[in-house]
Amino acid sequence: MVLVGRSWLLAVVAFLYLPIAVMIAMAFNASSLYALPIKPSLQWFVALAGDAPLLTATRNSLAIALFTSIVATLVGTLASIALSRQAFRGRSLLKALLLPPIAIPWLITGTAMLVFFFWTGIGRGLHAMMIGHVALAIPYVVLVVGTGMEAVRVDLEEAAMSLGSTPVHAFVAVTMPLLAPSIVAAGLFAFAVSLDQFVVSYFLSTPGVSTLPVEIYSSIRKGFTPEINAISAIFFGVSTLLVLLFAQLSNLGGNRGRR
Amino acid sequence: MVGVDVVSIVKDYGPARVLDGVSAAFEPGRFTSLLGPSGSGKTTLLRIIAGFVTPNAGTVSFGGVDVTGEPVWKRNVGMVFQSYALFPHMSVRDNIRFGLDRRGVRGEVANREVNRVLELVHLEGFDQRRPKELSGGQQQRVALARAIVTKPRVLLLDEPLSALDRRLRQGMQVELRRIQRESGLTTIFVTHDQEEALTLSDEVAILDRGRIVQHGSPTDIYERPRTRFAASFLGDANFFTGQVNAGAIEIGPYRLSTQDSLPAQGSAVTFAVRPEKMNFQAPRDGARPMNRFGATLREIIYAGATSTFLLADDSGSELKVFLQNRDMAWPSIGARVELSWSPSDTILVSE
Repeated sequence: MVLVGRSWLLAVVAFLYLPIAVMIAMAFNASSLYALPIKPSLQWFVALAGDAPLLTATRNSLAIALFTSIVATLVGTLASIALSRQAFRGRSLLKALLLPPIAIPWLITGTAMLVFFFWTGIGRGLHAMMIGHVALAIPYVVLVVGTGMEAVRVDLEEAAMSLGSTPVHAFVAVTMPLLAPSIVAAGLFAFAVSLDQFVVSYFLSTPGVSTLPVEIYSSIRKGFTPEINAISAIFFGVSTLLVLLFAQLSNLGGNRGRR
Repeated sequence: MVGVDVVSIVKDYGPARVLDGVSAAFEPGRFTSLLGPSGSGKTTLLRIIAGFVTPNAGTVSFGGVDVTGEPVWKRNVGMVFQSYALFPHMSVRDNIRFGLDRRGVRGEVANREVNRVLELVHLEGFDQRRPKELSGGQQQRVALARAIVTKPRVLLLDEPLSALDRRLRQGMQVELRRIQRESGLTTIFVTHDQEEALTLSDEVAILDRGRIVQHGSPTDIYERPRTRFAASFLGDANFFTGQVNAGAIEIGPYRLSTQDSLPAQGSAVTFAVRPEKMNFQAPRDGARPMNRFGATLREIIYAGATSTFLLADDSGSELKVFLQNRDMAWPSIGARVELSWSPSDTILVSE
């Protein structure tokens, strides 16, 4: 039974990672025609350094992701706290409205943003992508921080108040430290959501201003080079790192508040 | 050490009236239990005294000073929560020091105070542990130490023993009482466990649907319940309803006397008799005249030291008798028996 279970799991993991493994392997192969056996080489990575449009797109991607991460985390965290601690009219409706954007296809969201940004005069470009990514990332932040808030029980704040803390001090001294791992995790998640975003970025990019995924896509359309493998391999590494960090932190955030 | 007074407290949650004009005096240094079923308002009353909840009407005062408008963080109360609510990211020492720090007590003075209460709750040497490295009973004691280290004006306990298993709970009851006596704090304890309330308290206040129905010493409340609810919620009771006739209560052929004062001739009265006050064989020629009442034995529940006898009276209502298993000369099931008890154990109750 154990053997069957393990083989099955191996098959699933292979299914998930095989294409990526091949891509990464080819990024290190000197042959541009995928010739085997692999002749190890870093030439495609070196070539990246000279690819000005790709470098600009990378800088754009990182700038947008950083901006998204900071703004979405701030806005989303405040929303989460309001949702879990304050009682006000329409709270459950607002709470319910914060989650569906996760399930709306990006194609729809992207089209809607494009239309809306044109109509309001925001237009396309870096600033439009920033606004769009923040909007995409907020629901994820609310989800992650909201889960963290649930682990910080209300009676902890009440205990602090019974000991002489004002509500603000109780929040800073008790809730914040317990919520911090969730907030950092949410920030990482928002960063990853922005970095990996293609559809909305594609809609909101202009000929001169694009992000890394958009740039990779246009390069492929122009003609496939192994450089794409190299940049994709790096991209894969960064995204994986972010998600692993996120998993680590959100676990911590979930356990610390409980007895 | 100050007393706590609540006067005419009313609290509504939407259309539901949770507390309906509650007044009570909690004497300095006394241990009072608020006892009642869930939904009786006991926790809301505690939270109003703490300052977490603002009443719609009425006042709370500590030592004669009105604190109704003061928020919880200005009231100087010590509170132990049902879940203990220890700060998971702080050591035991930092948990206990939290309240001292809020009062500007820091450094060596604070450390000495922490050591003092750690000793009081028998947790010396645990000060560097995290709460999750402690057992439930130890967490409970840390919560208590944290609540009393600031020398609060009143100690409030919200069912703090309910999460512990039975054996540990009994041990903690003794500990809690010892710590309360040594610290001399005015203590208000919320519980739904009647045995706990009787064992721990100087005084018990019984709450029912937002009102205090009786407030007194444990023996007073148990031996002289004033209402049917108080009699049945705290312990077991047999209830009888009869008519007043010539200084006694008549139920069918039986004439029963009581030491309580009876209402006017002809009125209907209800009285309660505790099951352990009844017996099968009473001396007919005793100095005290006994009340007698016929019933049929239906069942015997043997429980080692004691037995419970279930009987039915002539109208079919169930009666209960507790007896110690001393000589075991019991009537057999189905037998017609005559129950007897003292008039002083015949307690008039209001419905």
